[in-house]
Amino acid sequence: MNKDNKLLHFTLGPVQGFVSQARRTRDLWSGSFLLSYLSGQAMRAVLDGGGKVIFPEVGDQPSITDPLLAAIMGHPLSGNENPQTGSLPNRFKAEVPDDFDPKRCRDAVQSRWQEIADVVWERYVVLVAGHGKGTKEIWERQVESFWEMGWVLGEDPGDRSDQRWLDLRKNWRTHHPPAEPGDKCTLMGSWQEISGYVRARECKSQEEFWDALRRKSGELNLGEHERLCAIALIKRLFPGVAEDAIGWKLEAGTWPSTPYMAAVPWIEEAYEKPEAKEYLCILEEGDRLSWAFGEYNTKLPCLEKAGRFARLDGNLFHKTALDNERAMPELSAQKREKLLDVLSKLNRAVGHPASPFYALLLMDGDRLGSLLQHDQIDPKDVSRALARFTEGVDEIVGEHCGRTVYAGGDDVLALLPLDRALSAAEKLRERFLKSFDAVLGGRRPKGEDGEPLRTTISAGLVFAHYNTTLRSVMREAHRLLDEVAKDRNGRDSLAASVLTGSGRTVEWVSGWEESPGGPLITRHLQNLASSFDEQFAGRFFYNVRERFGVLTGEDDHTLIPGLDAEKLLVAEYLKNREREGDREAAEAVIEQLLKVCRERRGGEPANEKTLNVSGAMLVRFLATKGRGVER
Amino acid sequence: MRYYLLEPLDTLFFRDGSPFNAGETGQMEVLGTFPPSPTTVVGALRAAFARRLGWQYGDWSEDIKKKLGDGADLGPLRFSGPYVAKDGEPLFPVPLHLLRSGRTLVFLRPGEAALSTDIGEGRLPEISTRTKGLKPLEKAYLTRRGMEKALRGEIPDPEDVFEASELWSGENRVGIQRDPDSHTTREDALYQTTHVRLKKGVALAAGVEGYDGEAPGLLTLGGESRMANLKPCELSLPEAPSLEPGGGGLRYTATLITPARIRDEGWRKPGGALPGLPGRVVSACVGKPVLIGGWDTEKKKPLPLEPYLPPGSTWFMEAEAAEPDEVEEMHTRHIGDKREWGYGQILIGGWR
Repeated sequence: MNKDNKLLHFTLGPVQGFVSQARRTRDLWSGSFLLSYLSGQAMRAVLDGGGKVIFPEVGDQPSITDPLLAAIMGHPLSGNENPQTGSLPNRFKAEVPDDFDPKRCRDAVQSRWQEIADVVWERYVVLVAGHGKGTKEIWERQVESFWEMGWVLGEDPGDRSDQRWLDLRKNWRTHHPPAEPGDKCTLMGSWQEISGYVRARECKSQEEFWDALRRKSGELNLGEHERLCAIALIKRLFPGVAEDAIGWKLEAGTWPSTPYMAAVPWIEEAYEKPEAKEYLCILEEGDRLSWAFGEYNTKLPCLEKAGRFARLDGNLFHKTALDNERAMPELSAQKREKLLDVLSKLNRAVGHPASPFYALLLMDGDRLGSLLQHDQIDPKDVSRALARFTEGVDEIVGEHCGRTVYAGGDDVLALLPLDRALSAAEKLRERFLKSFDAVLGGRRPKGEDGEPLRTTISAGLVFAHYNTTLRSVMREAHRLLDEVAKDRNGRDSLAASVLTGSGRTVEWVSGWEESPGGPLITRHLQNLASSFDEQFAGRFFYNVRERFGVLTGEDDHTLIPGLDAEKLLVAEYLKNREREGDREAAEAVIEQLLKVCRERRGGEPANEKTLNVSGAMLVRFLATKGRGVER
Repeated sequence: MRYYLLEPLDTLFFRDGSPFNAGETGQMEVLGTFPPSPTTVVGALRAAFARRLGWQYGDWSEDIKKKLGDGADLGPLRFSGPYVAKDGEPLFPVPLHLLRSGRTLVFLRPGEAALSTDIGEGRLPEISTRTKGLKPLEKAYLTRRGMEKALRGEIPDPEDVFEASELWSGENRVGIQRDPDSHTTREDALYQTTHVRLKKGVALAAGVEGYDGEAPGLLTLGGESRMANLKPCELSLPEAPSLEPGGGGLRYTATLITPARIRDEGWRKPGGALPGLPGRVVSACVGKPVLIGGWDTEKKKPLPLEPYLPPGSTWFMEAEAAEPDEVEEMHTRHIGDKREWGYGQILIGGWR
């Protein structure tokens, strides 16, 4: 480092307050992308000011290696000219010239954000604003005061303690949003909706304002009951004006809805059946139902060959949604009946209906801060390993027929079909470990426990019913990752839960490996899920929960001393099988089942004295895929 | 000041600020908050006092207004709290400069070296140990004894710390709206709320000055007209340590125990000032703002949702050596907006 240079640590937020408050999957993606894009503006200010970004690894000028930052700098990478995924984290470390003023970063973010807001305003809101009550004032107040930015600048202390600067700064929270009067946004509940009317007294004027804006932006962009603040509206509408706002097109229309993502495994099995063609014919005959082909191309690799059937609106794959007149009001009663009839036939041909559950996966490297502060690890190696990890995320998620919402730094957020989520999590972890192995190789210093320092990652995996609000699914994913996997289970762990409309029904956590260096626990889960048929799984696991829940303590999962859980479970298994199965096969299954029912902290072997029935309940859920038997 | 315990007879429900309109899908989930804001508790107490004074419905009579004020004007009334109480003893939000990992508790203190930051040049709070996993106790409470130790700059005993989960739990409720004529459920009228159920012996407590009437007994508290029993109690706030001026002047901490709205900017920068408190801000541990709103019954519109500094926020102050009395005088006083409602109550402590 040049001795006249200084170190700058910069952060932009709120992350969860902006990204997680989403109603649709594309809101999640759009929020992550915008945040990442704006963080890139702050990085650009550093580069333009003669500085260098040290963390994350983004390459040097003129050969920037991060696709998003390269596009922001006006020199997009060939083959990725229009980056579609956020890849830049919301905090970074840079080396800047002595006279660099960090306000340049703040100003760059704010002015770019203002420009994006202006494009959305001009395209959609300006003509309607006159019908509102103070709409422009509300818009300006919110756009101006939303982002929270902080930085610390100083000379290199030489002992890595600068890695803590932003954490120290965060002990003193100084950003306060403005006071927000009136009715609040239906997406971001602490901001005023921009019509400015109060529903209790001025319901009609409020409806008129939003109807007008809905006509302007399209029903698909603004739902029937949605009344948004400036921030949520920008998040929702900016993909449509991206070319003007940021200089390249964003493919917002390719985002699969949650009912669609839930139906993916079923679509794969269904699209070639004659009934699928019959189903399509009904939708295509007579009046054109443009909404019916709402998911015009979700670009999911596993559905490439499924043609027009895979372009149907996600609701059309689920009987309960099709049954609900309010979900598809345009459908005539006659057509609905015909569709329901063919859908039943199609379900019979496939052997089962589509599952209503999809998966949301959130992953995050463990103790990255300590790693960066470790005196025997070069922080550049950490950046390099993370860049290598991030590079591979989208491919892995794609191979599992999912969509990457965000992949940058040590974070991943992805939507996946239920049946491939565990495998995707496992592969992403493998990629993370290999990335660090490739960079650190045999040069791993010893940690505080005297063992070679481990670089691990934890995951929160939510299996959510497609009707659950995305906000609660995101909240659950963060809770699983931060509180359950990291804090409670000591990191290097995977926590999973099942979320239905009425709340959480299963919560399970385990270290990734059966014992240190042993087989992956996710494999056992997947093997078990495929070894139980739906009907048997329902019956057997209920009995397990009923009978075995009482054999452990109330608050922990310690088994009553001297109890042989394996023998009891084998007996239960055989009893349920009604003499169909042989004892040896039963013992093999139960042995595997017990592996997912033991308490196991990250990086440690299982505690053999425990039995946590939630592991069995997760297997049951995976085996039945939550189809109609989830309670 | 006379203190009262508000003992719930059932679960309680205090809504957060998110929209909650009938018939809107995606809006069916409403999160609850706890403890409630001073405004909510003051509202419940005033309504209960007014009932005791003979009010049934409609506008208050002039006689009641003289005793209880009118709308935003509290007349002769002054409130403090609400506090969370356990077995009749008050608990206080843990100062945010106290961190915990397992059973280890550690204080953050202003760092030795000043750093250049977006809020100016200042000494940010840091810890001297390398203990892993230290986190602020944002959802925890201290007993009076624990708080007195913390104010003296001593580490409280782990037994004096109560996690929120030891004091109350959330309870999801699913509700439907019924059509009174057909006795069937209405379309699209399913909703979910999160109530709180206080653990045995846990209650809210509040102080009242200026009302000499009898305690009204039962009152409704929060959403869905849940009932609580109001009864007089004895309650003592923690005592302040005696402050000793040192070489650099008088160093003290100011910790909020109820939310505060402070309009001037001093709280957010090194070298700034806090209203009514002598000296300058050296450093601070301040949490994310809490948003407090409500409903204006008269004008039939929401009250503005305003950001407040959260309880537990602590400032490290430095004043002239000659001012200990002036500082100690501020112990348990209120600063910022709506002080008479109970907002902005502070405790004074020491730091070195």
